[in-house]
Amino acid sequence: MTENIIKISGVTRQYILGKTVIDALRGIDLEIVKGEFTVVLGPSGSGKSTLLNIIGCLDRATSGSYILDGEEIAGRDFNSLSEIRNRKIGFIFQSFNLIPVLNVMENIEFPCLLRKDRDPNLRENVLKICEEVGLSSFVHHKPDELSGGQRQRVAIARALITSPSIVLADEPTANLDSKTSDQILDLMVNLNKNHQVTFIFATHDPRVMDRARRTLRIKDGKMETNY
Amino acid sequence: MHPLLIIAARNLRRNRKRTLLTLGALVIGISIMMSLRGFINAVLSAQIDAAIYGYTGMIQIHKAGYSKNVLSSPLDQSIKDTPELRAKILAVPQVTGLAPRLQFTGLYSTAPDSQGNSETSFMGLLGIDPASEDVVAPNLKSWTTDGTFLSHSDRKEIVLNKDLAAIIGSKINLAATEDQWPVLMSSDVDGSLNGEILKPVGLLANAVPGDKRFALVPLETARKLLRMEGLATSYLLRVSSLAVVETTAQNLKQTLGPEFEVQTWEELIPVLKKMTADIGRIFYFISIAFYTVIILGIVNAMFMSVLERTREIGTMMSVGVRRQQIVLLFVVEGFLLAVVGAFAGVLAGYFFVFLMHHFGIPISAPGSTFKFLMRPTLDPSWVLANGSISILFTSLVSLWPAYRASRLDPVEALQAT
Ligand SMILES: Nc1ncnc2c1ncn2[C@@H]1O[C@H](COP(=O)(O)OP(=O)(O)OP(=O)(O)O)[C@@H](O)[C@H]1O
Ligand SMILES: [Mg+2]
Repeated sequence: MTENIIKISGVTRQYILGKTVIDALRGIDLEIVKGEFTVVLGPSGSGKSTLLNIIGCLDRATSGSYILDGEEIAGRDFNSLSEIRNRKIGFIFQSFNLIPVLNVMENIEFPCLLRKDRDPNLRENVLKICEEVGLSSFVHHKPDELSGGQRQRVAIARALITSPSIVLADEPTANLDSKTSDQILDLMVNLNKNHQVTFIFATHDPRVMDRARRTLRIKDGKMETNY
Repeated sequence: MHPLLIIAARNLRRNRKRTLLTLGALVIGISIMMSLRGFINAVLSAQIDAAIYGYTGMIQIHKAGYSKNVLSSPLDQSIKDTPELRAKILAVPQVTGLAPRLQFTGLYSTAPDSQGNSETSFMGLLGIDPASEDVVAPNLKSWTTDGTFLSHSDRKEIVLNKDLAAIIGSKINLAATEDQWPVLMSSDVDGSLNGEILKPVGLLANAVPGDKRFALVPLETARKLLRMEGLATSYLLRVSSLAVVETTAQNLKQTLGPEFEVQTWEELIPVLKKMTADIGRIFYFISIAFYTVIILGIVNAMFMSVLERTREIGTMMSVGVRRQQIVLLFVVEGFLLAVVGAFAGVLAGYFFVFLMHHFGIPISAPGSTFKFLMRPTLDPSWVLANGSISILFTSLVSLWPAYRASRLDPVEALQAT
């Protein structure tokens, strides 16, 4: 159970804006073990989102190596990254990012329907996961008929339906009140325990620290603590 | 159904206002073009009808060589107008009517006035049988503006071009007594000059093609004058419809052999064919300009849609939608819009053309007393082609915004508001 799902070494990310160069990440080394619940903590602008986007294959590192589940990610084209995102990554965003014209069930099953090989038990699995995140009575609702907490539950279910290698949550509770935030956090911690899914959770809320098995602190694009 | 198709269809429903606006542009564009086309078709077919039914007939038969020699010696190439020949022609499928004509030239001379002066003018003449003309060129008589048309094939009558009066410098008096009637003189086939006193019964509008020095006389009267009993210079034919003119002409050529020449109205009045082609070309350019404006409107609406849905596109990319699938999503939206818009547009267009056809658009030929209703029609294959092209082009241009959507950077797209 100490298999490294993520191995990052010397990853940098530069933004070039005209003549100024912004170093969002300045050489990150990071290993994450399968099934871990990792919190990335850091002030605004420290590079949390940049790091998560690179781990999630939405963005590419300027330099350095990134091995996900044994595969080198650097240098792949868009479609191959799409494939990796679809199979190995689950995203949970601050602003939920559901597809407005699809109902709860359709939003959750959407990533699976993009695949050529369809799981015949998909609908069953969707209903099961709906129950797990507490959405059973809302499967036919559209996102605009749900509360923020409910929408984030849909996003969590969508992230988990593909049985991904890692789930990336970028400040998933920032748009929620504290009570709902706690519930969502509890839900994610429980899912991590029950499904052995690897979670990486970016936040600048120190309260979340207590729930994490491991906390990484990032500042100005560099890791401060890494244990 | 593939989820991207569902998303495409639902997005059109979700953004009802923009969808309706886009559809409206397509519907209005297509239906206006169809109405215009229908109207132009009506004008063209009115011109063709006026020419065919008013003078030329659908098909003309002459003795071989007639067209070449008509100006020098029209009487030399004459047809023996026998019941056998008529029967042979009328037996050809689709031929429904036949009228013999005798084309010749003559001198028209007014009766001497009190001072003993008379006016004389050279003119072209056509001997016709009014009863047969009623079948092949029924509108010929509608060119009569004053008095009456020729009454019978063997009457001593003449109808003259209205403007002939200006040429001969005296008024043509339809109420004149017999002693004031004019004389028509003409050389017969043997070259000797014969004359006949004819009663001027009517005047013709000058819209009949050709010279203003023109008159119609009854066929038998002309034959007697020219000593050409039982002869004709041309046969005019009526066939069951304009669509079968060409094939019937081919059949007639085969039946009649090289002794005769067979010409269709298109060959007799090539200007009509050219006019149809020219108007077709002009219409083509108008269509292109018109559709360009409409399609730019549609592209603009689709770019707005891409802009509004940037974050949604980022979301889709984050769960693994490929670039080509994003292209597909927007092209499907464009295609759905195009199909619905084209169908509604064709329906609306047919509705307008049906209304115009049903009520008719009144027009009158220049100078003629004959008024009629133009009835716009559409060629279904033209409508099909037009509808398909609208669908094709709308789908094709939607590739542009679709491509732009697919090139979005996922991280930036996700940060969009
Ligand atoms: N597209 C971009 N162009 C230029 N600079 C960028 C871009 N995205 C991020 N940056 C810069 O990179 C640095 C890290 O940004 P990042 O979004 O990763 O921070 P963060 O830790 O997620 O902050 P927050 O808590 O506010 O979300 C910041 O200085 C930011 O201004
Ligand atoms: Mg961030």
